[in-house]
Amino acid sequence: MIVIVTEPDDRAAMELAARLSCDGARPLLPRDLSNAGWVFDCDAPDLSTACIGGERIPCSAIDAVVGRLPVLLPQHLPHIAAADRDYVAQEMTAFLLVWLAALQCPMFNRPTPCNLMGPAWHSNQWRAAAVRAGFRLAGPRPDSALEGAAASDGATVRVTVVGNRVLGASCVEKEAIAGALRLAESAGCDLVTLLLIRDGMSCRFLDAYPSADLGDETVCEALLETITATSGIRGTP
Amino acid sequence: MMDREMVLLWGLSGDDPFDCIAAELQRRGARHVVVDQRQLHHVSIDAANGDPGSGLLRTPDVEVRLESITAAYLRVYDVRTLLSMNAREKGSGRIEHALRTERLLSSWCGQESALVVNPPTAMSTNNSKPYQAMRIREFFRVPSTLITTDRDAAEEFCARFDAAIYKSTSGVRSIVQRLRPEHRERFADLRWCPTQFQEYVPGIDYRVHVVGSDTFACRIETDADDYRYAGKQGARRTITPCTIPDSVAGRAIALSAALELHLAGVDLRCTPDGEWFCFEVNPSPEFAFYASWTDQPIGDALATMLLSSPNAARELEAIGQQ
Repeated sequence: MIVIVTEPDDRAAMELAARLSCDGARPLLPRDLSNAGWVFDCDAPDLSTACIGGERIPCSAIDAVVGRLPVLLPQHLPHIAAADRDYVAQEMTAFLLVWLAALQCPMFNRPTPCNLMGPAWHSNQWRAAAVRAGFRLAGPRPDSALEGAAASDGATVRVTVVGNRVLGASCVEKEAIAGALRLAESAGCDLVTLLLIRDGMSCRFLDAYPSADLGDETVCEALLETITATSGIRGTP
Repeated sequence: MMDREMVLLWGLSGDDPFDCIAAELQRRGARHVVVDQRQLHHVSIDAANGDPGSGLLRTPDVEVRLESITAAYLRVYDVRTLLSMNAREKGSGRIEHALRTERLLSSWCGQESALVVNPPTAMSTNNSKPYQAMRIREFFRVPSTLITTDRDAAEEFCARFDAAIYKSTSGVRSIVQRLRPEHRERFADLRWCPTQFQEYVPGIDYRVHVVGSDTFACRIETDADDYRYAGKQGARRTITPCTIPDSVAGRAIALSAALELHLAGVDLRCTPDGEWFCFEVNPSPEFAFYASWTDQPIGDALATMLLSSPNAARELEAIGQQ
């Protein structure tokens, strides 16, 4: 079973879950954490059970996890009394962190204490890591990038690392591909998207985030192939 | 004002541990810059391109190059909550400015050229107590713990022990409570949110403050389930300085180093059989409260560490590698 930790408004993730449902893929939604059936014994996490889509599932049956939620927010919990939502969101996030961390299956990406879907790096931490991975940096200041400002010059290239594959790399040089893999490894990510700016014959690094566009067919296929290869489950892309 | 060696204090003036360190640095004549969270709208950071270690920090009093900061002490609260309490701040853009400044400061804390007590990433293990316990159990015994939405599972777990407690799973501060019959009547509500139960461990509480490779232990005797709230509950509480076995102190130091914490408040309990349990490691301990009972020079040790930052950083790394 592939578990996609997401929320109902994440259309791409919900569509992927539906598409892979014949392979046993399920979306794990915030609402699922308000169902009886979750049992996590810290002394025996392998024997824990989840409750997804109303069904009790032994955690040993989970082959892979795709994370789409960095954190649970109060707005994810309309079924909880408004006064309790903030507290419940923090409690559920804390629970998901230990539950995910205890799973032994492949995970895209493994959670960290500040981000259930990978490293919680700031833009300029990504940029510093990118320099160590061999990239030159694009022009925009890191605080502008933090605010989501678009690159002002050159063409933006989006490159996605899935496992040991680099997608969208046809128009970037070999050094950038190797750098993308080094950056993913240093961040502990099996799924990460890099934003690069074309600069003549080479690319400069702008930013990265530990996720990918699941609406992109090639990303989904690579993800499923990587899951199939690493977890041993059958896949039907 | 520019200088080559500077200690950054980022937190809230009026908060005892924060004031304690500021006073200690002042007493020593050490150069330091205070970023008071209530004044964040007057603070700005002009970050250098792509290098989180470089840039200019401006406060109402000083301008400091980020690369001149050799050490930092953080005792940070949720700035959104702090500023939201003041109606004037709402809609003024000050909260957004404060959040942006904090993001940049957090980012600066993530680089390795300064000693940060403690790095935000290291402190974040405390966001999930059972997650942190996964690390703690490499060094200390931890109580059996169940997190569940399932009434039957909770009943079954609690029946295994003479007594059980429940407490928050997240870092949200909660009062640890012994499970009583009236609580069981609310077990049907467990389904709404995973809830953490633990075996009750009898014994005496100890708080061990770890500052680098130094420990300051104190013994807490109380009638309350949670000694922090003994006063409010009208229960007895005494806190006295004590010595603990070297092996226990060594494990507390090693645990703190493994969690990459230069300063930690390790919560231990020694059972009547002499077994040491660890409940939690507080990455931002209220050491001034304990020092007020014990006169232990915790603030002094912390100030010394901040002022010898390169050595302290290497020391933690060495402990972690052992």
